[in-house]
Amino acid sequence: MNKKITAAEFHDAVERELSGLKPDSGLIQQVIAADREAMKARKILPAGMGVAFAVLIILATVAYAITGLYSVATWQGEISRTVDPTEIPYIQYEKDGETAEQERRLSGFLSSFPCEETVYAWFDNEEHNDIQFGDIKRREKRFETHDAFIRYMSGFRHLTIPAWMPEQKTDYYLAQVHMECEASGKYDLLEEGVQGDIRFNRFLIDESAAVPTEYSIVVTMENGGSYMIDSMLFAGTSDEAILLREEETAERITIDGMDDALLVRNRDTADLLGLIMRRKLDEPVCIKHPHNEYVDEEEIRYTYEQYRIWAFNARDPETLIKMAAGE
Amino acid sequence: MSEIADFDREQKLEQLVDRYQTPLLHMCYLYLCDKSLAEDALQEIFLKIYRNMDRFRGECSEKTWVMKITVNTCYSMNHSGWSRFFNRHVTPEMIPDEAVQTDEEDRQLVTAVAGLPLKLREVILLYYFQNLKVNEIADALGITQSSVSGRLKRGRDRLKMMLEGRELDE
Repeated sequence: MNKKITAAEFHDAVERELSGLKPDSGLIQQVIAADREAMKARKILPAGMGVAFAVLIILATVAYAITGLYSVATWQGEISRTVDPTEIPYIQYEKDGETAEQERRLSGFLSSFPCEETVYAWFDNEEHNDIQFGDIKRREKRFETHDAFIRYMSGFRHLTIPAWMPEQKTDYYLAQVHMECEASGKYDLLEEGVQGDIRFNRFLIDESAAVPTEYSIVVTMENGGSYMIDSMLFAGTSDEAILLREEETAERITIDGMDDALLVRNRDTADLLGLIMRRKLDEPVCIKHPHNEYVDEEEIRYTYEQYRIWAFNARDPETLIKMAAGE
Repeated sequence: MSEIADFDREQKLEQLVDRYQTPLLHMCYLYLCDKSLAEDALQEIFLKIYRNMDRFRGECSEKTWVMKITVNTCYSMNHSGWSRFFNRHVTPEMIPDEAVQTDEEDRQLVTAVAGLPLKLREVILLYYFQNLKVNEIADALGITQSSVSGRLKRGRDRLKMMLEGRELDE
């Protein structure tokens, strides 16, 4: 039977073991001096705060113009509930002028780093000792031709690539593959830094240890049609598939290789808007987040893929289905 | 009048520093796993206490209030630019040389506690080192009592695996 350590024994053991670690004898004077310094600094603050509030009020007024009814479609193609716009997180972000501004600033800041780097950036919330708003830039690889993208992705089976692409000439093509670190892989911390009120950490994941967990393709055809295709991994999944606007409908269809698929159309014009699909992965993809201080499990296990094809100026559902499932 | 108030606050600060500085420094060290950060945190904690002591209304015990400030300060330092995402582990060699005689079991226990994930480590420290009750820990961390109990159990289970033939008393 194991020997029990009481709270008193625990306390004494820690005190003994850390007895070489002693507080500074001038602690009280340091605290009082630091308080006096801070009092001096506080006196110059109010002048700048009026400007900050004015900006906040203007942003909030603009954002409140967002209205309309939303509903949630399940993977069965049924509407499960309607949603008030105020309940939708990204619309709330728009209402919250400060967060929208932070999001915009972080996005600009993160885009300044090289493709190879993984960067976490955030604003601290001093009042609650927590992150106020944060964003991630993952290691990225870019392709300007579909052939090059297909060649690169052929080594990875967990992200579905388009089975077919329209044969018209393309005006524009860009594929971006985002990568994270495989579970056994290594990463290097390049810098822990601060720029103004943005804090950031830069990491370099070795390419041999990088595993794609998301990609997006934007392609514009010479005839004016365009498509956005993306695929991303999720650790879990929900029965709720998509948030629809008032004028949109979702119809369940079957796509080879996918567990569920919904065709999204405009109710009034019957224009095709997109095809949204999901499947359970044959084997989980395990990755390692460089920041795992607050996560009990060091590995993140992705078990589902969500694969979407969005169309603009496309009326023919066969095209989308062919892109998803081939001939 | 203001000078008298300042004098009272300074006297109160002296009492609190005298009562809490050593256990708080040790707590910060085991929380942050870094001696310099722990010393910075200690000063920051007493600065917050000094500034806010007039606002303490006794809704919780003084110790719970101090621990709440301690946990928030350590949490904040753990998320600051120079320490966030940086996975530190305390090894026996990193622990400052002790001033009194210790044994191998003490060192094994401290190293094991420092190696726990932060969420488990903080409840173990508050319960066993600071002697807070489950409801006081819940108050200090802003989580439910059942979460505290769950984390305590997981923390004890992990330590039991790391401590050969020993475990924390429930």
